Amino acid sequence: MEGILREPDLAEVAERLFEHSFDFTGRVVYYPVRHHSPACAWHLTRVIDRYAPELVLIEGPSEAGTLLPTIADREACPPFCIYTSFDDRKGQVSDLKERYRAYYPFLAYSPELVAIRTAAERSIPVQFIDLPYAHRLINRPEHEESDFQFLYNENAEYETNDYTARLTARSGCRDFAEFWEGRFELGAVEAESRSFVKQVFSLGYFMRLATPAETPAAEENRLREQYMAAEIRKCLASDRQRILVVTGAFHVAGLMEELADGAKRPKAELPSWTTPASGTTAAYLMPYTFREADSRNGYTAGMAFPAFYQSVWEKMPLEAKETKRPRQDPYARTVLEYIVRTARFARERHTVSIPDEIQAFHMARSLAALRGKSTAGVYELLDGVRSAFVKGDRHSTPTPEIDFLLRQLSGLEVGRVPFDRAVPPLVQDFRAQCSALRIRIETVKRQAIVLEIIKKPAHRQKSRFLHRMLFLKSGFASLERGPDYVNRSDRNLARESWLCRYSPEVTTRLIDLSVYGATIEEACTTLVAREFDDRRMTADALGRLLLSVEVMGLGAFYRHHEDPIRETIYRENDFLNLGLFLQNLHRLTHMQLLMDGGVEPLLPELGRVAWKRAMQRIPVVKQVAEDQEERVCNVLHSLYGFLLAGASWSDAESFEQGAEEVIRDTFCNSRVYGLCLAIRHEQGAMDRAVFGDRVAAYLMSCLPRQAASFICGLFQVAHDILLLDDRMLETIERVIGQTDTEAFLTILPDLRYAFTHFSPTDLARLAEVIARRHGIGPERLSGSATVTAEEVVAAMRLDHRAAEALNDWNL
Amino acid sequence: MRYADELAALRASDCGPKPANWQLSPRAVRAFILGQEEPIRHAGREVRISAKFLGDDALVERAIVTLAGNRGLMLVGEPGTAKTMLSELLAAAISGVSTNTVQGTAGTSEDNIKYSWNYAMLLAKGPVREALVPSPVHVGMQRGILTRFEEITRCPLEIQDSLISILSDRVMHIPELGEDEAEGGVLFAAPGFNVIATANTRDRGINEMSSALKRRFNFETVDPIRSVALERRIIRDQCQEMFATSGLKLDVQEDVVELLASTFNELRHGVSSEQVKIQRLSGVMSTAEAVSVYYQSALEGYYYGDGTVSTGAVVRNLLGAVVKENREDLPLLKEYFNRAVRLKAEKHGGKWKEYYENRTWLK
Repeated sequence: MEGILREPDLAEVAERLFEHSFDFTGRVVYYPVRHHSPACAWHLTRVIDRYAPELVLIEGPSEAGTLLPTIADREACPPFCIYTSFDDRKGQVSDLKERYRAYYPFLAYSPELVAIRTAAERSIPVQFIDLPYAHRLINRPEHEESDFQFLYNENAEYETNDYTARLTARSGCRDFAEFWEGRFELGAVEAESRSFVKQVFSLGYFMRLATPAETPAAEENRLREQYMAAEIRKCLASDRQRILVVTGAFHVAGLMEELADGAKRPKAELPSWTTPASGTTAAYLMPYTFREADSRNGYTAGMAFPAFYQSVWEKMPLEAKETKRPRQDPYARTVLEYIVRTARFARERHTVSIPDEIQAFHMARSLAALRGKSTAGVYELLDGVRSAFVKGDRHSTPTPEIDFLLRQLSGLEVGRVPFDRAVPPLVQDFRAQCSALRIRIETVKRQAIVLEIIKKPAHRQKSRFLHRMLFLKSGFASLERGPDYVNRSDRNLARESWLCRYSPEVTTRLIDLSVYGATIEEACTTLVAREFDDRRMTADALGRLLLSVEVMGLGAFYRHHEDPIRETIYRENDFLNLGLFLQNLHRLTHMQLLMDGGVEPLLPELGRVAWKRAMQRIPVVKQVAEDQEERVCNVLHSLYGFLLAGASWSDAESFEQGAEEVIRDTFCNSRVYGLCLAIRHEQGAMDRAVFGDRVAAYLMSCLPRQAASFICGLFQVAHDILLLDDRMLETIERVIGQTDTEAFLTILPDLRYAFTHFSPTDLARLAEVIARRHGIGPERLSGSATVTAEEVVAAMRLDHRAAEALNDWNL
Repeated sequence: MRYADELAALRASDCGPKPANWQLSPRAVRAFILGQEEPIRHAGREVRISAKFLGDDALVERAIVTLAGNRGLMLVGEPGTAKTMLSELLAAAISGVSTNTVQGTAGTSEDNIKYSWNYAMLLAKGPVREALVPSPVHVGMQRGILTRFEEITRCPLEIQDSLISILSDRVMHIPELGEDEAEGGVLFAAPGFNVIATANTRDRGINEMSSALKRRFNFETVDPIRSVALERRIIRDQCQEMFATSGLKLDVQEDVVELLASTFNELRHGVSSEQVKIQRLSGVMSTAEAVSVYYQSALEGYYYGDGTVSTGAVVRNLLGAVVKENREDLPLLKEYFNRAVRLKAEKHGGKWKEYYENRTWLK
């Protein structure tokens, strides 16, 4: 490594190679770039002017060539990115048959974008020459594992290379990005293009020399360079005389070598590419955000602080000579702007004064001078603001101004791509709906939306759209508060509070889902149907699915799946599932009546079938095991409730038959028995005396565990029996009296649960009755004793005398 | 004087612009503190400029720029993070002297910050210039040099505040000597004067400082060293220097330094190279403490042993360093040995094994 830095011969080789690569009299000129570098982009336009190429070749995925006109269109506003996907349904990459996707981001100052747009202005044809994404996956060496996501034009190699690491360490910079800014970006407009390009070339060349040859990354680079060289060769075969190749600095020497060697190599030795199956690849253009383009957010492409460099780029002079005026220094102006903006934010908390701003700017400029930089960059800006604005230990002092500055440097803006082009219809539908429903998607800020879903039809419509986006897991909307019918919580709420936040990830997800439909509604219906078809659905799951269909407003689902829905209910044999389905159906009917004013015609029919089948299952569930008895009783109780509420699909006769069957069989589960007995009593099947007899008889003849369980079921419906019939208490007391401590502790939870059905007033009354039976006065029941003043005085006197006596005895 | 040759060499070769009364240009100050690769030829020999403060170049640069401006420099951080050393280096490089210092304590009075009187002379001659005993701040203002103010937050708030007018107006009033400059009643700070204060975040904290005074300072937080390699280098260099100063012919043992650097770094940051859970100690575990543990252990070996540093001595001194702050840290230190050190001993053997076996001293 040390050798590379000192080797004179290598410097000569680099010089020679550069002269060859940047020879304007030759047919191919290579323009080396660091991706997303404003300086590289600025000099690139000058090189295009001087060289006047007839063709521009760019290191970009070849399959996205059709998107070039859209990229060149000024309506497309960066940041945006090319999204390419590969659906490995034929298992060409691996047996996992996954879906793979890759991104190729563009910022306004990305040299590649500047090349495309400058060339378009001058009517110069442009072509992407890099290995297509699917080729890259399929032809990967030895099919090693591939990530499902990939980022093109990233600068990762700068962070991992030995050469750049050493350069960074020697310069005293914190990271390579700082080194790059100091040496390449600041003052770049004052540099002569040729010498600037030479520096970038040399950097790439030495990085290449310091890269180990036998790594998978090197192997992949070789494959890509072979592909790109083959593309360049094809173009050389045409009659174009001046070809400009815009590629990462790292690849230039490789491409030159490959081009020279490839010409000598026999055709058979050139790599052959396995191509992807047809219809498995797609490429779209989609918006991107500064936040995602920021390398500090774990995305290694480009540079940190994209909004800062965007601001610098916008201030960069069109002509080099304009920079002679100091006012024109784009970096100094940008640094000052950010200091003022940060101070304005901080001033709301009265923490920053104008002298602090002056100090920060002075610090930034002086640091630049100390570090030998021509002007202050983003690192000096951060140093200046940190030093002048933060008053205290930075680990224990809150630094909202620094957080604000970092957010501003990263930027919040989202890019834009022309609406009608290069995006699938699903995304267009999403945008159209957002626009119609007045939901903002031009910012990545979160927006809170409160919807009165019952009162206002317009809000309901919005709610349905947001529920669809939630169902699609688009990451666009999250329901913060509101009724959740599916999971049975907060169902009493009449308002929904949503948080919506647009990010390009939403578009990405929608592009991913675009195979399922042209509209959001269609995609949801297809996915609901997939969920429905994919497995043998239980009636309970179907009920929940229908609820989610309802909140999403997918009316078409019933029409398309009427028969399978009916079959699901006919197929269902589980009492609990049928009962839960009926609960959901009740809720669903209620919602439809409330919101739409009418009920889906299929629902009452489904209800009747489910009811009937549930009633037929009662003889089976009466033997239910202890761990299920509570659920069964709850369902039975709710079915009884529907009957009382007069649900159109309920039928009293079948219910009565079922309950009768239970209470005829004393072998059945005690809790279910207790519940059915109470229901039948309420229905008037027996008078209070008979009911009392039966309860007493059951209690006296069963085991304590069963008695507790029986009481639980009984009290679920008819707890008043305890207050109305004295024998009940007597019997319960006798059962408890006969129970030893251990058994009592076992039944205690059930007994406690049974008494939760009583109101506090009932409990108080009951306690009085029990106290009376045991001869306990109401005063003891309240838990306190009343003492008169005389008694206190007497007690004190006694205490005093006792103390005197102890004293006399020397104790 | 330490580093006199380096400073002389830098002064001789320095051709950068200097702020008034600075001995060196800001770039040369930077080179003095952060080191310079190329040696300087001075007085017929090559003088190598060593790196003296490691780990945060940008902080040093910001500090230099602050001192060249109109605000004081406040270095805050945990104990043992070389705040004092950095302030001494800055003072030595910029003003050629690092001893013009006020040591902040609970008993520091305004007299210690401004001036006091030689009372015998005061009684004999009245309030005349000769009777005035200048404070380091007074000296700094008069000569245009830096004044170091150590542990400023240990001083009572109202005493600290006497610096406000000095830092903002750069003027000290001495009403006993009259009303104007000619009589000596007003002392204007000569260019080059500034204050470097240090404050310790562990002790009473920097919260007890008025916002008016805070505004007169730029704050720099000095962090503990994160990199084990860097910590190793600091321990080695510092011990080497301490041996040379004490006239001891001793070499620093890399393997022992490795033990100490890893131990202190892991206990401080909770990041274990073996991925074991490390309990946080209430003590500081600073690099300065690690240097001291090594130095003590080396002295023990030199005077009472075979001249080498034994791992037993290291464990004993480590124990002392930990329990002097809080005896409750002892079980946590034992835990560290039983988990992290044991794994290292199994993995690397050698000194780590010896180190682990000496854990019996931890009681």
